[in-house]
Order: sequence, then C-alpha cells, then structure tokens
Amino acid sequence: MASKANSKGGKGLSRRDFLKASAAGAAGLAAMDWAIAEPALAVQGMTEGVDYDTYHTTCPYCSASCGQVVAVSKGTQGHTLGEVLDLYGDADSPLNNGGLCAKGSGAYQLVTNPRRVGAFTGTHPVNSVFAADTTTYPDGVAYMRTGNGAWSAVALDTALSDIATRLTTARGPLSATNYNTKNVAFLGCSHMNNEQNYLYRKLIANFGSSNTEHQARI
Amino acid sequence: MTNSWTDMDNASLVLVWGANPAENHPACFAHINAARKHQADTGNTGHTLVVVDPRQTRTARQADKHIRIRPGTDIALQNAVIRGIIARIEAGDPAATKFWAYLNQKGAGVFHTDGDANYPSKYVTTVASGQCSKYTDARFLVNNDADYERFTKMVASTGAEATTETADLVISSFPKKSDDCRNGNTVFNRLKAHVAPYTPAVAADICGCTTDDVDYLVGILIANSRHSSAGTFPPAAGAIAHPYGAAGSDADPRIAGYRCTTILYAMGMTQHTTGSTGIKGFANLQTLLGNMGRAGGGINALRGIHNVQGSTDMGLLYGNIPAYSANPTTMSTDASGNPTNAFGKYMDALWGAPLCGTAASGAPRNVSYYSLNDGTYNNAYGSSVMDLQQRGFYNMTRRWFADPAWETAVTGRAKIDGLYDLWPKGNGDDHITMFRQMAAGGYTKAAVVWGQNPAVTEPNQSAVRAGLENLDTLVVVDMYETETAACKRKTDGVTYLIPACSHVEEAGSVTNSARTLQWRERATTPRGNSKADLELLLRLAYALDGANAFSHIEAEWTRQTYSVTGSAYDHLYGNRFGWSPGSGTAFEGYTWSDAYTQKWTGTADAPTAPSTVLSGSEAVCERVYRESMSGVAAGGTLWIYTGGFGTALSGTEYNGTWAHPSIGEWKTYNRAKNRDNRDGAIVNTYDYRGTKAYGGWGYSWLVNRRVFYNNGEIPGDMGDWFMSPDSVSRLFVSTNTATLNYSRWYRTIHRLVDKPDVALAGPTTRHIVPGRFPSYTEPYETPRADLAAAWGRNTKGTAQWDLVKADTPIAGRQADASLYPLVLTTIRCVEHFQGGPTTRNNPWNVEAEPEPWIEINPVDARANNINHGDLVNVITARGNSTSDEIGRTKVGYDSTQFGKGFRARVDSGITAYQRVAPGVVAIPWHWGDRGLGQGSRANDLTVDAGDANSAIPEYKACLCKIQKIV
Repeated sequence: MASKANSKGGKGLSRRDFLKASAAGAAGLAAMDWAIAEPALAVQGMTEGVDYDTYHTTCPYCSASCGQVVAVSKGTQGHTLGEVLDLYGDADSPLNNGGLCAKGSGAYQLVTNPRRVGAFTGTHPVNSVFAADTTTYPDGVAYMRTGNGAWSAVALDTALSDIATRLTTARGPLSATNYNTKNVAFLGCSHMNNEQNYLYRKLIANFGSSNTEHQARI
Repeated sequence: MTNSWTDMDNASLVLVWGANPAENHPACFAHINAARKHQADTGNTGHTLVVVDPRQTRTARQADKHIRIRPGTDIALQNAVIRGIIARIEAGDPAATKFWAYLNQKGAGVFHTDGDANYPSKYVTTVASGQCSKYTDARFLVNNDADYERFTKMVASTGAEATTETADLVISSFPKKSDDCRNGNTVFNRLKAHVAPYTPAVAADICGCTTDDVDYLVGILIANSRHSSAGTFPPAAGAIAHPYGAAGSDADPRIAGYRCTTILYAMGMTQHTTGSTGIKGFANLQTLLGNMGRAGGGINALRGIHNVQGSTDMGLLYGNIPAYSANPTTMSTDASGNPTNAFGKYMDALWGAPLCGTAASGAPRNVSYYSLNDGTYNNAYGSSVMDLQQRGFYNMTRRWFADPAWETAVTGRAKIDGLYDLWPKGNGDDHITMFRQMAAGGYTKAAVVWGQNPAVTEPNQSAVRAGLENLDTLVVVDMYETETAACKRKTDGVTYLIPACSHVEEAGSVTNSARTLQWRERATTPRGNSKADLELLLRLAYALDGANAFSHIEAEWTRQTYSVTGSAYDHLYGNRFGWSPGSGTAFEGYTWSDAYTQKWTGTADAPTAPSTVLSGSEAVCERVYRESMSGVAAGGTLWIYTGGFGTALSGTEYNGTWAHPSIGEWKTYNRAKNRDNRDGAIVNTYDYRGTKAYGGWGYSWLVNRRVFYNNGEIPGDMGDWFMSPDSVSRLFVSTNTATLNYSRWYRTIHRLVDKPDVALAGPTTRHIVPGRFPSYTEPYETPRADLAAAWGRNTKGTAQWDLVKADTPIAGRQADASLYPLVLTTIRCVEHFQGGPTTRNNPWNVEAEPEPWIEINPVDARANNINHGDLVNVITARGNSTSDEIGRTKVGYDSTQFGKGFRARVDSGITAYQRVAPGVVAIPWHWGDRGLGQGSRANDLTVDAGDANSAIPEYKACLCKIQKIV
C-alpha cells in the first residue's frame, strides 16, 4: 500500500521538519512553535534576487488560508528557470504568522509531485502516457479513454473540440421552453480561484444551464 | 464566519462544537491558543476551551472540558442549554440585569420600506425610538406562531395603528412589540415555551451526557457573555453612527474583564438532516448571550476548502447565480407573447429597496428617486435607482451576455429583457439528484468534473458510481488521475482527463472562511503540459463557440441589431478579458498593464510598484477581478464584494449605502493584494490598535467588515445600520415571505423549510412551535426508535430527494437497528484532505498517515472479540462493493470474502483511551483506490439522506455493524 516516502523533497523543508509539523499540528501548539521551516536556501549558498525570487500565495487546503511563500529558481546553480525550490509559511501573514500544518507543509510535494499528470518529463510513476511531452503537444494535451480502455494522449485543442461537440450535442437546441439544460452536469470547484469560478459559472450560463454544484457540503 | 480567524484571539471562551480544528484547521487552533494565553496572562483562571463532540478528538484532548454526546443530538443539548440560561437568569443571576436590558433595548431607526400590495409605503421612513428594537426580536409579538403580529399601517412617530395614510407617517407591515419581552405572546416567551421540555434529564437521556454537563454549559456560557462582561452597557447614544463604541463600553475587547464566547463549528454540526437548523440554534444561543456582533464572539463555520467560500459566492450551486441571487425562473414574455414583467419582478425580489410595485392605494408619495408605478414595471430598467444586489445583477446580465463595446447601448426595457431572457431559467439538480439521474439513465448524459473527486466524496457511492459509469461523456480536469477519472465506464463512454496546474502556477483571488480575499501570485508558469484553469476555461469557451453552443446568444444580438462582426467568443470573453485562443499569442505570454496594476509589500498607502506589467493568468485574472469586484456603481457584478477594486472611497463607490471607512487601511485598487499586517492603526484620530481585526490584510466582504452584525460598536469595524434597529438578530423563524416586507433588506434570508416529521400539537407536547425554533430530531437512521417516534426525524424538506421525501423507508436504503446496531460517523485527519488526490499522492503525507483505520469502543471491541490491530469490516445497508472499479482485487484484502464494507485495522482507541463512546464507530473518509496511498472508501457506507435546506448529506450518522476479519 503505502510505499515509504521519498523524502528528498523540498530544498528548504526537510522530511524531519514535515513530521514535526504533522505532530505539532495535531497537538495544537502555539503558532510560533508549530512548524516554521526557515528558508534554507541561504544554507545552500543561494541568494534571493540572484538565484531565486519569492512569491506570495495561500495554502491550497483548508479555509484558514494561511499565507505561503514560494521560492522559484532564476535558473542558477543547476536548477532550471521557473523551478519551485521551496514553499513555506508566510511570516508576514497575520492568519498563520509563518506556520503551516502537515498538509500545508506538504504542499511542496503537491506542486513538485512527479505523479501529477502531464506536468513533468521523464518516467511517470503511474502511467507512462502521463509524462509531459511539450515537443509532441506544444499547445497542451488531454488524455482520453473509451470504455475501460487505456489512456491515450491527444492534442488539447483536438480534445476540447470533441468535448465541445459532445456537450453541445448532449444539450440539444435551446428554445424558449428549454432554457435550462440539465443534460450536462457541471461539477465545480472550491479548488479554483474566484476569477476562475466566476468564468466557469459564466460559461455554464452562456451554455444555457444552471446544472452545477461544487464541494460546499463535504 | 461572522467573525475572522484573528478575531478569535479576543474570545474569553472558545466553544468548539462539531469541529476538530487541531487536526482540520491547525491555524485556527493557534488562534485559540493565543486567546487562551491572553486570558491566562490577564488573570482569567476559568475554563477557556470547551469541546462538544461525539469523539474525543485531538481538539477535545486539549480542552478544559469535553462533553461527549451521541451523534446527531446537538439540538437537544442546545435547547436544554437555552432553557437553563433562561431559568438561571430568571432566578436572579448577576447577569440578569444586562440580559433583560439587552433583549429589551430600543432604538430609533431609518427604514427602507416597500409596504405591500395594499399599502405601498414610502422608501425611507424614520421610526421613533420606542417602536424599534436594537438587537433582537425578543419583544416582537407573535401571531399564531407563524409570523410576527404586524401593523397594517403604523404611524411611524407614535407606533399607533394609522387610520389614514399620510405622506410621511405611515409604515406598513411593521412588527408589533411588547414593551418588555417577558410580557405577552412575545418571541421570547414562545422560545421559552419551546425549550421547556428540554430539561437536563431529558437532554441527558437523548444526548448520552450528564445533567451536570448541561448545567456546566449554562454556567460557563453566562459567565462568558456580554451580560457578564466588564464595560458599560448600553453604549453611549450615537454609537451607531460612530466608528466605534464609547470608551469603556463592553464592545471593546481591549478592556480588562472583557468576556465573550465564540462558537466554532464545522461539518460535525452540519452533516446532519438537521444541519441548518442546528446552526440556527447557535445563532439563537449567541443572540441571547449578546455575543453576536462582538469581537471574540459570533458563530464561525470552519469551512473546509481554501476557496469554498469563494466558489459558493460565485454561485456554483444548483439554485444560485453569483452573489446569492436566485436563478431567474421566468421568460420576459409568455407563450402568447405577452409581457410577464419577469425582469422587474426578479429585481424587486433582490436585496435592496424595491423598484416597482402596484400602487393600489393612491399615487406614489414622497419618494425622492424611485416611484411605485402602475404595474408596468418600467422602473426596473433605470440603473441609477438600483440598489446593491439589483445593480450587481443588472451589471452581470449586461456583462455576461453582451460585448463591452455595446454596453452604453444596452439599456432600456427591450434590450435588457432580451439579455435577461438569455439567463437559464430555473434551478439545476442538487448533487444527489444529479448522480441518481445519471444512474437511472435519465436526461443527464455528460458531466464536466472540474477539480472534484465525487467517486470518493459523494455519499452512497453505489449510486454515484453507477451514474458516472452511465455517462456518454465524462470530462475530468485535475492534477492527478483521480478515482473519478479512473472510474468504471460503459463500453462506448468516452472519458477525458485534462491536466491542471497547481495553486502556485496560476494567479487569482481566494476568499477564506472569514470572507477575506487574498491574492495568489503566479509564482511560476504551469509545469509541462499542464494548464491554468483560466486558460482551459477560455479555450473550452472558444471550442464551444466553434460547436455553435452560443448561437442562441448570437441570435439575440442580431435581433438587437448590434454589429456582430467577430466570434461569439470574442464578444463574450476575448474583448472583455484580453486573450483569445485564436490570436496567435500563447496564454502565458499575454501581457497587460495600466496605472492600477500594482505590487504591494507592506503598510504604505501607495503600491510599491504601480503599472507593473502582468502576464498570463496574472493579467487575465486582474481583468476578471475588476469586472466582478468593482463597486456596483462602477459596473461591478458581485455586490457583496463591491469595493474589492476601486480608486477611492466615496459614496458612489458603494452606491451611497456604505461610505464609512472600516479600519482605515483600505489602500486602493486591487484590495485582495493588500498586505498591511499591522494590528490596527490610528486613523482619523481613532485608535484601532490591538483589535485583532487586521483590516489592512486583504479585503473582506461586505465592505471590509471583519465582524458582522456589529451595531456600530466594534472597534476596528464600522458603524452603519447593517444591523440597525429592527434589522435585528432574529430568534424566530418565519416561513411567511410577507414577514419581512417592512424591511426588504432581509427578505430573502432567514427561512428554513424543514421540520419534524411527527405531528404533535398542543401546549404540552414536545415540539411546541415546530419549525419556528430549532427542534431536536433523530438522525435518519437511528438505534433509538423510541426517540424517533417521540421526537420525529427531519424529513420534511420541500427540495429533498426521493429517499427523504418518502414517508416509508425505501428497501435496501434504510437500515434496521436490529441488523445494524452501531452508529457510524465519518472523520478526518490532519495529514489528508477531502477526497484525497492532493495529499494521497504526496510521499510525506502518505508516510505519516498511510491508510485508513477504524475507531471503536472497548465495549464493542470485546463484544466482537476484536483486539488492537485486528482487521475489521464495517458494513451498512448500502449495497456497495469495494472491489476495484476496473476489476482489480483490493490490495492486501480478499474482496471475494466480503462483498461490501469498509475494511481497515482497528487502531488506538481500543485500550489507551476511548475516542468514541460505546455504540459508535468512526472511520476516516479520505481514501480511495488511486494515488500513492490507498484504502477503503468510507462513502461506500454513508447514507444520502440530508438536510432539506442545504442538501448536505448525513455523513455523520448512519447505522452499521462490524465484523472481525479472521
């Protein structure tokens, strides 16, 4: 079942830090103590502004919205430009004062996870079809299967065109008496930002439907 | 949440009821600890953390007191506590003086009134002090337990019934009141009668707690209420118009001896057939205690997903469009081509003063900028007279269905009606019905699943899986191959999986549980072939246009004779947000800037880098943000967020409604990017320091408010009449829509549609005012048939699905307690998240919590010969199979031996301490059969009965049995 963790992971947060965060989060220690992983890039001789830049984001798990800082390589010291080097709590945020729990600390692995579909080149740990291939698919990719058959990669535009035809066919023509199709279900997403949700809801309305739900109840 | 995360630091008592923040919201627990430390440092030796929960959670183990109750019996305990509070106050508790003064407090008020069909009162009426209640409806008189007793028409200055109408004196539908809530058939007296049957002994029997537990809660809640707090009450006259309460008042959390309870709840409270009703119970408790609208008080839903508040605000629900407007229901003309006045009627139902009406009794009177009309509803089309929600909807209609270049021309009845008709009419299906439809081979043939994993998260998985299997087309957008993407499909069913990027690879705003907007920067571009959600959405829109999905919209444009030269995509999206898939510019390469694009770093009033060039999702998100978050008078579409983007504070920014500064640090432009983390400042000579509001960090709806319902008394927040006299905290639930006519602003809320399914009438029966105050009912499946017979179950929803609507159990779906004697509840852990894909693929998380477990009590373990570490199967009446959906045998287990159930090992809880009570089984629900860490799926077992108000399933209580796997 669970293979032992590959703890090579984040350049700043160590596996030991992570386990500390896990225990501390559960024990409910004070914010100041619970899991502040000091940016360790300096230890590796990296300098902000030269070797990496930092950006602000918020944690992708619960709705306390802890601040997170993302350190991104500028392409020096053997790293590639745009590579995420570290992800840690934002000490400026009054919501978490720099702390992160077990989930928030693990967000580094969420971002850099080789199991993500279509995100990284090389051997994919789940299914070789999910390895990124920007040469064959410079403008995006989708994976398709028929029935319970195997996944195959198709160009994103080809996929979107087929999807659009399928959805529009399922909907059928709209008329004054059929102005809300429930032939298509649009399950939404509390993982998207506001602007994305706003556009998704607009797209559903433009499509002629109010048949949408998100994860408000789980 | 009524209050903010940081405001919890101000509480003197944290009551956690149906939540487990130590595991599920650890940052929240840090604020709880800050509050407890502050109390200890300032000499409060009393208890500061109390937990009510069926489980001994990790939060409970940190608490001063843990009260264990049987799953689903929360409301019985609430009512027993309310009963105890009233009894102790009536017996002369030291808090009694302020308790009565608070409930009977009066105040003058200015009302937005619209009257009714017979008496169309004027827009604004000033009502004399004695006629208004300042805080609660406790002294309102009740008519037949269905509605408030009301004046037909009242003289505003005297409170007498008017015999004739005059231009400036009459207000209609105004509630009648007793001078003292203790006298007459008042809301308070009805509530007192309602909770009378909930004696400590009755509650102890229902809840499985002790009578001492009830008394303990009564005592500690009174001791940590406004009525026991230091500080003067009532606040000085004029406080409502003032940005903070008078010096030394009991509204200032910085004074010594400040006492206030905050109630924190989560899914432990809401995932029941009584989910909404129980929250109403909290609201009543806090209203009686004077803790609503106070710093360190309120009722706070610890929401589970980082942007679940935002996606709710954006209307991704079957009954909503963005910002809590209902789906329009009626076309503007009927089948015969006659006008239905649908747009005007819809606008009049929104939050704000009415635009139209029928003046059956004389001409419009004394109206400064709107007038009641003769029934044509022509006044609904004038944007200058619209109020917040109306203007937001009007803006949205024009901005969602037309090109920006046409906006100045899209005015007037004919054109607005034409665009209004493009809104889909009526609701979609709730999530349970959706999957049932699919499973039954109904009309739903395709599904787009964007960032959800229903094949783990939805209740009663057999129906969900059969539904997914049946679809012709299933499109999944996710970062991983989820259980949903990999689900079993019919032979010719086509499944797409589109790779999405992570949260650091895309910009945008997120709204946390406390309604606070924060901005996510794009730290790097989407990795490999993955794409930003925004790019995927726009490219899907472009593809849909290519499939002529918007031809109905184009037909309307042609009818309105616009110059339709480009594609529908460009008119709807490209021309608004700047990027088009057909333009030759890659999404991440698209750039945009103006004087207001900016970067913030700290406390300065001006951005540190104005006119920053934005690219990719940063640029497009900024443009979407402006359309939605600007003030409604500036064209913003989301009225609740009005002011999230703006250049200055002014009356027009908020359409004249709210113009007070909140905490000073509003900054300018994109306020989601504000990063001033000072704990208050001195603004306009007012000292807000130390209030824990952090008003300069991000931006909160409404109007940067960090504490809701404040009566203008909370330092660090602002004074206005959001909760002004008679727009009060209501103890009484009315399902009569006319109830709130006198104050349209509150009409569309405060209705609950559920009530017990046992009809018991008369003054001595248990549900003395069913549906008007929260009533305890048993869960849908219960081992206590005696209680279900006496108190009923909550199955009377009007928007329920078949299971709950049915008066008789549906075979195979409802359990028999003789076969399933234990109660199953589902739980969470700190290492994993929701349906699992975003943590069960991370090696660290999987190492820390590799597989699910089962918690049972030693009594039940011994009865079933189960020891620590044994493999156990949990089974309910739901007929699910846990064999892998594509036929694999579950790793480590023999799926042929047990055709259904939840197999895992019994973990700690057997001997060391008792996490659950006898008769209760707890299992985590994060797992499925994909990802690095896999395990049994709890929602194979859960029941899809639910709450009639919110369609939330009863994940927290159903019947089960356990079997040791030999």
